[in-house]
Amino acid sequence: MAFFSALVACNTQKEESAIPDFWELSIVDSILVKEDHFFLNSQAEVKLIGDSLLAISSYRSPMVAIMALDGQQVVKIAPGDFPIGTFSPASFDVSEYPVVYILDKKSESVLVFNVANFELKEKIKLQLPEDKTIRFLGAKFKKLEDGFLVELNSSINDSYHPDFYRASGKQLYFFGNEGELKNSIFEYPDEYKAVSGSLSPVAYLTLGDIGKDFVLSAPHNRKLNFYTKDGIGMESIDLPDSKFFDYGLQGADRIVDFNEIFASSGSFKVRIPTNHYFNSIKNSEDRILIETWMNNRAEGDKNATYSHLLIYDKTTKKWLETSNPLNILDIGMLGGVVNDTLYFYEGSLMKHDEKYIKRAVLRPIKE
Amino acid sequence: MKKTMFLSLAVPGMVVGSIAIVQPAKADGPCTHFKDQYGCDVADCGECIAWSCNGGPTNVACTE
Repeated sequence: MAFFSALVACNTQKEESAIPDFWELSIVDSILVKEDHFFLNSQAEVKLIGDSLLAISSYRSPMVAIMALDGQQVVKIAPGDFPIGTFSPASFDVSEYPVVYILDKKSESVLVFNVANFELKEKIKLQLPEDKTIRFLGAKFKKLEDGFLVELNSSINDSYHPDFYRASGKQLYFFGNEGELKNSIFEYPDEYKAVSGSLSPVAYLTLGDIGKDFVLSAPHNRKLNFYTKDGIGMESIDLPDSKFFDYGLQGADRIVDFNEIFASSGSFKVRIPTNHYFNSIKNSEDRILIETWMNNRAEGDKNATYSHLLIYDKTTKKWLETSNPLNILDIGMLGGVVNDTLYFYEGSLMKHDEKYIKRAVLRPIKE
Repeated sequence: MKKTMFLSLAVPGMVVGSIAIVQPAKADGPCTHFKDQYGCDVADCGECIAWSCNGGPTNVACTE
């Protein structure tokens, strides 16, 4: 509660009229995942497939797993299952399921699987620029009609160095179906370039798949940017004031060496301020839903990360906000929406050994 | 070479910090660094990854 009180106190100077309407996110039930066939070690990304399946990736045990919404495991795509050696799933696209596109950092390729007949169809080598590499965690990736959209990071600047944001140029690259480089878009906004100390190296850039087109947001410049499938910028709308989400971007008071992070521990642990960011942007017929990731910056056992939703109503062009942020270990990651039901997956193994698919609904708050 | 080096880290008592080879300023070492959604510090070093969550022990996993 202290977390929310502090945030509300920080935002008291904002005009009340700028705060979006509040809705409540109610968890309807939690469905236990039955791990009869394989074990998924933690989770990196969660995506709904149609109205009956969920795709989940993991980096600790590299794989993409497919499961039914009733908790039954369906299939996994993991190194050793196919004659291609190891791979590292930086991201995946299931828009053409049962064809699954996996962005593989290790081979710098897109691996194309057909899980209907358990076949590796194709390995498409991407022609990366010399100074770029595929982001290891949370890479943005989308299958396009004529190729792929891929987030690339600097291979020159470490993610703890300000030049990672200041001098790494464009972040999203368009590749053709043969892996040929076509063009690039989107530099980090000035808010990121202005930070002189180390930033906590999370995935600040978020991509939302809205059919053929897509949206992008690096939330600390408070914009949601709409693009065509060809990367042509369309409208840009302002992100709303929030009772909970802190748009401030805070870095360390110096540039930190990663060796210090791993070598330190306990009360001597080198800490870099955490920042709120977006975990995912999901699309439904009439809404765009942003799942936030908000760490409370508390010490020790009180440290926790909460999540809530910022919701853009496409019809009224107004923002809604959920009024009840939940611990991410209780709600998990938003996979997508079917009709009025939101599907979340919590398999982080950070709170308990079980994994759950959570169904939730949004309810307007009555005055 | 890298693989051998990382596997040796799995020996109890050794710290991964000693092999997170990177210069403070530039990523000209073999590893890239990120923080995952659960606050874990992650080093991606090709065949092996290392992660440490909330100041806890360092885990190493190699894929080859």
